[in-house]
Amino acid sequence: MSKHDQVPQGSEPRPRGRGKLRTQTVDLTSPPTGVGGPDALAFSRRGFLKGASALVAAPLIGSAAVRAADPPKDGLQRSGPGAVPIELTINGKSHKVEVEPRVTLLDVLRDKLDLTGAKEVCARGACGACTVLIDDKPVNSCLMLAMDAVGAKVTTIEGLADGDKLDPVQAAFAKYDALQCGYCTPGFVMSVKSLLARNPKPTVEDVRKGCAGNICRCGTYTKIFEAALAAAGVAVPLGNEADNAGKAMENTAGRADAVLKVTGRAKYTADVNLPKMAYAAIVYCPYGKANLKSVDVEAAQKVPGVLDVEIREKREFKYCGHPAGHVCAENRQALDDALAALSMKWEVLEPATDPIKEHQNQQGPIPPALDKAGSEEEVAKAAEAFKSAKRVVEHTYQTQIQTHSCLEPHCAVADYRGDSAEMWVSSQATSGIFQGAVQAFNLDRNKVRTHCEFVGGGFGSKFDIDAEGHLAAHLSKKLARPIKVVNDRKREHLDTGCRPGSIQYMKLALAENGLPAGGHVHIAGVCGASTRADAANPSRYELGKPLKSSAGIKLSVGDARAMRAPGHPQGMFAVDSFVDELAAAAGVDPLEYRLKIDPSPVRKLMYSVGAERIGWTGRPQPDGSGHGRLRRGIGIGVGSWGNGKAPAQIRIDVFRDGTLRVFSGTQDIGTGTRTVLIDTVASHLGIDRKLITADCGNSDYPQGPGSGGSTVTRAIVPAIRDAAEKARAKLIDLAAGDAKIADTPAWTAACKKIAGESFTVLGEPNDKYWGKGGSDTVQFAEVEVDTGTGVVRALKVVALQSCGKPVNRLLAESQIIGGVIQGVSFALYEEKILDPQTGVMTNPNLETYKICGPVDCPDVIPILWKEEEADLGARSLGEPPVIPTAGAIANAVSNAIGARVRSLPITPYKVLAALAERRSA
Amino acid sequence: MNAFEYLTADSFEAATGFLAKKPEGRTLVKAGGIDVLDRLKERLETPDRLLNLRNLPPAAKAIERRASENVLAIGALATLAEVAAHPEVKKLFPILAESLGDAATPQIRNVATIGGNLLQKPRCWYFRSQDILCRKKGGGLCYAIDGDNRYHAIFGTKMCHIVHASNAAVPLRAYGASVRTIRNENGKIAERVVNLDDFYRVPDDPKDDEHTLQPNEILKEILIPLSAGGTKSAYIELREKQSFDWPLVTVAVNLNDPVQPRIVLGAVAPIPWRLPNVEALIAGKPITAELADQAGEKATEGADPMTHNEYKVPQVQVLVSQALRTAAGV
Repeated sequence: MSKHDQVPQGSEPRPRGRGKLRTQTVDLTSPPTGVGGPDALAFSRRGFLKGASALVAAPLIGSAAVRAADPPKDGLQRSGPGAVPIELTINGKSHKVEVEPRVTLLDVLRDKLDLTGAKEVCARGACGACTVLIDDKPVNSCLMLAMDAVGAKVTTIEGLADGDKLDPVQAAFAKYDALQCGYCTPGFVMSVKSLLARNPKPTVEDVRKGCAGNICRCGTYTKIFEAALAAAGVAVPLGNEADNAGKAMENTAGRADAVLKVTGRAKYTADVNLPKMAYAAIVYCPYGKANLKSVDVEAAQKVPGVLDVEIREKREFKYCGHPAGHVCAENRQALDDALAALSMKWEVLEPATDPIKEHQNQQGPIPPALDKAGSEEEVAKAAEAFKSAKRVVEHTYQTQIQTHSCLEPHCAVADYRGDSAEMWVSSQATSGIFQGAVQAFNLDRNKVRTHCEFVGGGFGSKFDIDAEGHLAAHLSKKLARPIKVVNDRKREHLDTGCRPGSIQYMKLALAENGLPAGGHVHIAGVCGASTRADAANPSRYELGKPLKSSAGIKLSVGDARAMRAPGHPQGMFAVDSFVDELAAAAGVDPLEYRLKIDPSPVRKLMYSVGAERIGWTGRPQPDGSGHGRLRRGIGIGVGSWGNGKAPAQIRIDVFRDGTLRVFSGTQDIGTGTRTVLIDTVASHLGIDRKLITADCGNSDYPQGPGSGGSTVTRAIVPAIRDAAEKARAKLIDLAAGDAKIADTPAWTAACKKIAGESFTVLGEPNDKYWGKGGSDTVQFAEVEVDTGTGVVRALKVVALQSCGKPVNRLLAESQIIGGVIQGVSFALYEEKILDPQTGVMTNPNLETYKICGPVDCPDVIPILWKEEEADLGARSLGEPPVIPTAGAIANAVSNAIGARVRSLPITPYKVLAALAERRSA
Repeated sequence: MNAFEYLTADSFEAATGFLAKKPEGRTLVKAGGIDVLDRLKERLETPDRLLNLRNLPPAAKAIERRASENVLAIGALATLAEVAAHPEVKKLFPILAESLGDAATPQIRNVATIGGNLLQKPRCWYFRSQDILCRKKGGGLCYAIDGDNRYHAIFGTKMCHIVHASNAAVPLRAYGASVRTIRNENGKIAERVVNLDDFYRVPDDPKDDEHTLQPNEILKEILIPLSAGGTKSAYIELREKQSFDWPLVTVAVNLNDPVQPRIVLGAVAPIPWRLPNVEALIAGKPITAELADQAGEKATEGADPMTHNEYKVPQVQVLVSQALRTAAGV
């Protein structure tokens, strides 16, 4: 027994209140870098205690008088710190490379050997995107030095397929659509491959645990589990048998570019390696609010391999992540050294981090006085509603700041060649990056080409070339060589947008009949230092047209950007929570209550189907009436999405051998643009999809819409059909009036009459193919709450979703599943956490910024909703499924425990607090 | 990461011999390298050299019954996956296997070593940020006090409010395990065996380690007394997320010796935290549901939660009670 333990129990008195932190000067060159303490197994303290700060200025970088590899002496093999030759055995081949000992295996694979299937996402072993097999065991290549892989058998994703023959795991991923953007896919394939080698007949629980070190931001886990089981020989149905859709939805062909993604051959912007390419990074303020007191760039400039250093001084920095300049170097290591060698002294000011406090400071109290919240008429109406109400219900809800956390960080490669330029940008709007590149290079439009053939997630944060693209273009012009800028995970969390937080106050009058009869709703958007982002609170219910007031609250954080259904998930979390509270006040079942106040005929039908599937009648009644520590509950959430038109052009080349090539400049953010191009042409013409190839994501092709507002599929389908129809008309012409070209033999026969090799047609959105109506969604969630610890687990989500006519059932289901899983992640886990003293984001990583992983993911049942009057059009599908989930989960938690958590994420802390409040009430 | 020299030792003798020479500059000893690379990437440390132990002979990762000492000996270089899957560990010390079988991620378990797991640095987000100069790094403030301390300690803090991050240390301490260290003393190999009860301690100076491994020492193996094994034990790890996550609270209960039961908590104090008062309460008594609940209540006597982590108090109470009942089969 150690005397240091519990006798006496408790702690040394904590020094409380060390005075208000107003200003604090921080010298980044003093020893955060020198840490006393243990190393892996032991350490030498010498040199540390007496002057660790002396070590900071990277003294070793210049010591190029480096021994390659000394012969062993004293049982010690010495190498470095300079580059040393090593030999690695990768995918059965020997590779000789020269690396510094500090270089990771991942960097060697990606930067030296152009084996870019393994990705760098978190760089800290939390996401699994870099997974490779070392002697057949999965490891994170980002946390392994290349030196440590010497003598081992390294297998990467590129080594799995045997030529064109896919490994069974890869084939199953492709068949079951176990991928969306594809950036996490190689890592998942490696994890599943290794799992099946150890455990050839896994259960779904085994699969979840086997993949517990991998994260998919698109949320495609459900299909990954299906693929893994199928690869193990289990008979797994393709797609969800539960849908009520007709024949039009029976297309379950795989994703058109699945093979490129499961083999690691798809080249994303972060994977682009060009000859003579240099690397640059953005330097930024590490504190929430600070003045840059002094800068010394000399040491950074002297780091061998550094090409450019520029820091802007003399300004106030408004958030952690606020750009201050850049560094550019020959390679990643020199870049890293230069960043470390920068000396920047900051005066740290008190940041704004508390939304409630800042609302008070910036906008006054919550709620604002009713008489100041709207026009005289609106105020009078609300006051009258409260006066004549049978009951008044009043609550405030709060949501957190969520970061997009795209697995492929924001990145760009610029190659300026004087009279022309080329640029790769990880983007969700090829039209946006083309315009951005033209401006940044200051060239004529016909001299610029932009690429985004593959993008590893965007979710609303990647519409422009952004700071990363501007820097790459600027430096490529300045230094006359290709430049690559790739954010690390930290900068990605800090300054590439976010879903703003919200405070939503709702006070409604209930009439005699228990229905809402107006009142006051006040909504505050909580976000960045520069832009105002009001919350939407987009009620889908008839609430009696309450008076709405709003406010924008500025915190010391990076600005918001659109994020998947901007405004809606946070708004509907509050609205659906509040509707349950209204129903409780009225003494009506929440489903019954929704039938009374939901004006949508489609959702009214969805409620009963969903209730049946989830077992609504079996839920605990009244709330919290279950037994034991673990309590289950069920809740409902809803949403809808509009369906506006957008321009798009499609080019089709038809060849005399009957094959077709379809072109769209628009990107594939993971929704499956290539698949939409191919499947739509095939189904419209009635021909075999094997005749068709598709290309997208390049400014050489006809322009298409950005991936915003769930636009791409619904906008390009009418243009594809128009182009296909034009192609058919031309062939009918050539075939001299044979009007029945509607199958493969007729098509190929007609194509033989093409003069020359091919002809080209251009399609525009044709109104007759437009999908009319909106997209509706209702979700039922079942959760289990541990009332002893407060931990919530999402068990099951039934997601009913209308979307017109899905082009491809598997891909449509993937969108629904992904939306739900992101919604679960938003409801239970994710939160950008700010230190109130310094404004530093405390969790700028993928460990403590928590994203729903494979073990946490509920069983998701996607139900594609067939409407009575379904037209031929495709409607919005990307965004609506993410809207209802948080509200459904919050209501399920409340049903389970009889206490309500009115703030996201629903953490154990908040659940226990709600339970304690209930007990004391 | 800064550039460093890389030394690979082929034996404990070579490694300790090198440390004994007190080489100039800073040397960081690395085994699996998971925690080391994490710190290097954040530039929390900028060593002159890494002393790599990955290539030690297989004996350094052996897991074997050793009759002479009446222990199961686990080589410090054994990976978490190897320890978790070892039949003797699973049979004799099931809660150790359990704590490692679900630790971190499958990928990390294949590389991280049991020795590194016991010696890893705290995960406090202020400590792990290169932008914060906290007390543990020689600064004047513990930022957790007035900051966001939801994952910080409720027991045993002295000026620094970290929690110990090791999964394995919690059941190991519940088994009364020891570590054997090795060093080179005046040219001769010397070893010492230290019980984990003494190996871990809350340092008076936050800059110091939470353990007593000396600068010239290397952790060689972990020794678990065979007499401590058996089936009357339980381990519970509470996390917000069930995929990769750091625990909020862990509890290990070992009732195999009814006279001296052992209860250890993880993730609530700067070191694996033993509960002697609770052990005294239940010693020699049959575990009933009532006694388990009493024990749970007593488990948080003296807890001193911070502004955002008081939720750990009821969690500890519930989990200690649950673990006792599970261990006793009640």
